[in-house]
Amino acid sequence: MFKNLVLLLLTLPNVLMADFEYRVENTNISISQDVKNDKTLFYNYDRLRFRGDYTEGAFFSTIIADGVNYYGNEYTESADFEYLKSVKSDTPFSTGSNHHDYNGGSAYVKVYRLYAGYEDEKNRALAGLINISMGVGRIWNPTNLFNPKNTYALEPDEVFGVAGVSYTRHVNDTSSLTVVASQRADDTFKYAGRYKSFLEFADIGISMLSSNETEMLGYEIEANLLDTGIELRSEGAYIKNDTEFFQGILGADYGFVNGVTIIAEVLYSSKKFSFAEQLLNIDSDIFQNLVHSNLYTALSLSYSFNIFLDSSLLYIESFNNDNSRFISPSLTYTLNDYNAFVLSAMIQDGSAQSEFGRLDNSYFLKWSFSF
Amino acid sequence: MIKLQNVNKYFYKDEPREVHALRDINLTIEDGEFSLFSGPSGCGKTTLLNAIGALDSVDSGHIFLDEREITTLGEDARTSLRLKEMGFIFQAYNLVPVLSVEENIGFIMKLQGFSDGEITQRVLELACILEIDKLLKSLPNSLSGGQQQRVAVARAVAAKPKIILADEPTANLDSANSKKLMDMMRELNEKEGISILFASHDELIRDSVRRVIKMNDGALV
Repeated sequence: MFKNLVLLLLTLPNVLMADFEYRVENTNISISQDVKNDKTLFYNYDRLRFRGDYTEGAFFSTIIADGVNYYGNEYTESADFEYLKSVKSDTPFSTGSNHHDYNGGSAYVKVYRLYAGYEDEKNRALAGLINISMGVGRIWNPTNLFNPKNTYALEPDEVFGVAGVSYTRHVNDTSSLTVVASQRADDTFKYAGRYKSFLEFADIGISMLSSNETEMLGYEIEANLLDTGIELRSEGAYIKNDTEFFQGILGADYGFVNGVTIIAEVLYSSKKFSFAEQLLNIDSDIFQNLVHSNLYTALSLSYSFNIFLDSSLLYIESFNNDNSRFISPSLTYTLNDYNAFVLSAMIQDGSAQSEFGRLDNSYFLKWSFSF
Repeated sequence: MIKLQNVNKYFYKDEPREVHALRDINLTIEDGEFSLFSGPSGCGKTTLLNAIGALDSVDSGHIFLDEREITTLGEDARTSLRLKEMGFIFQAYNLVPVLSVEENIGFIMKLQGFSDGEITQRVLELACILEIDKLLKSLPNSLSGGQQQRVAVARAVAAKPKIILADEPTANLDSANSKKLMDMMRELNEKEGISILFASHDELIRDSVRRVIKMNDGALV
């Protein structure tokens, strides 16, 4: 008892000196999805997110937890939703509850991130349910085999965390070494390392990854094109799984003085995969690399009309045997620091059998508010 | 051969609303049968089909597929059994919307690791029998109900399972399409020697099968 009291007295000042911040954010998306047989599905997605950040000196920890609700039984009883439910995080433990299906909808809770870390001038270490980011591409990241984003999703950056550790050592002023390891759902481990140098003419990195199913050797480069203001980037990887292939991107971006920002990116893959192969490899760590075309181009434009109104357009062309395209325009109205509205569409254009033409168009209104 | 011994299944067991869904079922189904579980709605025919297909567990009794007891298998073994030795046809077709007809038919074969050449040959063979060979590049949503159900039949048959379980396969079809589907399934049963078990109260199926197994209130009658 006495020892506990002493311990409390010793730690209390530190806890009181520590900095704890939290934020609650709700994202509500109403979606209209045109299903191919002349039917339209209406449903609502709502995510209540709690984020807590705790810092004490060089130590920090973060928790992000979500309560998610889908409302609209036509959607929650569809094959699309069954597929969505089958996609799980690649972790040795479940990061979310089972779906609770009720009359008209389905709800669940999940831990999105939960980690602790340490950072000083030379070192940064993280452990827990983390996001391991690799690559420099803005639209695609073929070298990110941990938790890659889904370019064609409603919220591309919403990706499962991985159960892992990450350590970055700033070797000197111009280079750093990062090593990461994560434990997968089948209890095997995935390892990766990246060495990055910030040279006078470019930032150059090499990366390696090894898991029980995949070997990867990758690179990434970012550079300014002389004094033009154009930023160039490239990343690519030789990937050996059941099959061997190369996949890489080449991109550029430029911000005009009138506020227009343009990003162009090309994705090349030496091998293309069928939809069936993709469905059969939902659990694979190269799932997002299983593209259906050897060549894609993407153009992203964004423009701020004023401090309240922003617009963007993402256009992706798939150069398959049967060309098709993904077009996503959006308009964002920021009411204040706590409220924002986004009106957007995801249009899949092409013949019925083409890559994008076989998918459904969606239109949505998103409202985010926080407090 | 499938053998069921004293099979019992309850829903909401030990609750006031308990339902005794299968009552002491004893049944033998020989290889190559073309048979129907028949009876009024709620009599237990779908429950029995699901138990035979290892989709549902039972509360007591034994189900043997050849010499193997399937009631005691773990979840992984049941999944493997369903994948390798059974085919399923449902009322709602359950085709994968983003896969073309040929990809849907070949999907189970691909899961089982057949080569692309074997899959292509088998898909074409079945598509010709089921008269969907002109639709191989189409997506399911562009097909009629009858065509979609024939794709589902081809998918179920493709990997040559021991047994196919068909739950109300004609429920969404008109009589002409139902007749056509049954004729084709009978041809596949005779040509490929696959056992096909139906659960339905469709008279057309009852007139097409070689054996009718009647059920009422969870029991064989």
